[in-house]
Amino acid sequence: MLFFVNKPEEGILDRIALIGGDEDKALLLVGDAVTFGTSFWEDRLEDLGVEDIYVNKSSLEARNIELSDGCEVVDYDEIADLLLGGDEKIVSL
Amino acid sequence: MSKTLTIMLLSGAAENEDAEFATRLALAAQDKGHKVQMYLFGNAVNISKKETPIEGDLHIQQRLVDHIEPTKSFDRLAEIISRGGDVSTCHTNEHARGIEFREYVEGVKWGDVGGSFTKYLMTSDVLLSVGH
Amino acid sequence: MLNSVCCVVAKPLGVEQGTLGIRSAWACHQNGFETKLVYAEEGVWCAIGNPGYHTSLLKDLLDEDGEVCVVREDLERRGIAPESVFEGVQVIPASEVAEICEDVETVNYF
Repeated sequence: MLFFVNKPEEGILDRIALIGGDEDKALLLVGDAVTFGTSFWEDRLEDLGVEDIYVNKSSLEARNIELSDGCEVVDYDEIADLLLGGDEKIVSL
Repeated sequence: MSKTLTIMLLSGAAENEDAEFATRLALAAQDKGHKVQMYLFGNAVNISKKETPIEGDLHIQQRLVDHIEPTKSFDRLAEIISRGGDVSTCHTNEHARGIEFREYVEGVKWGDVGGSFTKYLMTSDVLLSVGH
Repeated sequence: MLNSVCCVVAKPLGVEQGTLGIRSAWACHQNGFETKLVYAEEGVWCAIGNPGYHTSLLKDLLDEDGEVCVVREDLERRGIAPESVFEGVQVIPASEVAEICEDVETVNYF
C-alpha cells in the first residue's frame, strides 16, 4: 500500500493506521509532508509498519530540513514510476 | 508498459503546492509514455481558466513575483493537453465560484463528476487525488 | 482498470471537500463502481442527519443500496451518540476500516 501524503498534520499517522491495518506500507511524501521524513518521526512510522519512505526532491530542496537515513529522495520521473510502475494500491490521504 | 493515470486535483494555484505538484507529475508521466487524465474539482477549477494578465506595473516585489510564478499552473495544464492529456472540470464548482462563463485554457473540457470523472475512472490504472 | 472505490470524508459539514466526497461516491455508485463511503475524523459531523444537501444526497445513496459507514471512535471523540447517526449509515469500529479498504482498488480522502 503506497500512501500519498502532502500534508504535515500529525493526524495523518492515524489515517495510515486506520486504512493500512497490517498491510505493508510505503509513504510518498510531497510538499509540506516531507517533514515526516525527518528523524523525529522515524520511530513512529516504523511502529506503524512503514517500510519505505520516498521524498519528493523539489519539495525537499525548498526546505531546510535533514532527512533520516531510511528515506529515498525521488524526482517527478521516479514518482511516476512509483505510482505507475507496480500494482500497489494507492491511498491518497 | 503504458498506463493511465487519473489525477483528481482539489486545490487551486497558489493556496498550496498541490496544483504545481499535480501538473509536474502529469508531465513526468507523459514523458514516460503514460496517458494522463485530470479532473479539476473544488478550487482546482480555477486553474482551468485562461489567465487574464494586467497591463503595466504589477505593484508586486520582484522576489514575490518569482515566488508566485512557478505555482501558476495554466501553462503546464495547456502543455499536458497539447501532449494528449485529457482535462476536464466540475462545472458545478465553477458555477459556485462565479467563473463558469470564463474562457478555458485551450483544450480543457466542461465536465461533471458523474460524467467526466467516472468516465476517466473506467479507463484508469491509478487514481491519485491531490487536495488539502 | 479501476472498478472499486472508497471515499473517506474527513472534513466537517461546512467544508466543500466533504460535499465533493459524497458527490464522488454518489457518481461512482450510480455508474456501476463498487463504492464505499466512510465518514471519519471531522467528517462524522456530516453523518448526523443535518438539514440540507449533504443529507439529501446521503439519503439517495442509501436508498440506492449504497454502502456507507461511520467510525465509532471518531463519533465518541466528539461526543456524538451512535443513535444520532442518520438511519442506514453503519457505525463500525476503526479496526474494520482497513478491511473495507482492502476490498477496494483505490482509497481517497476528502
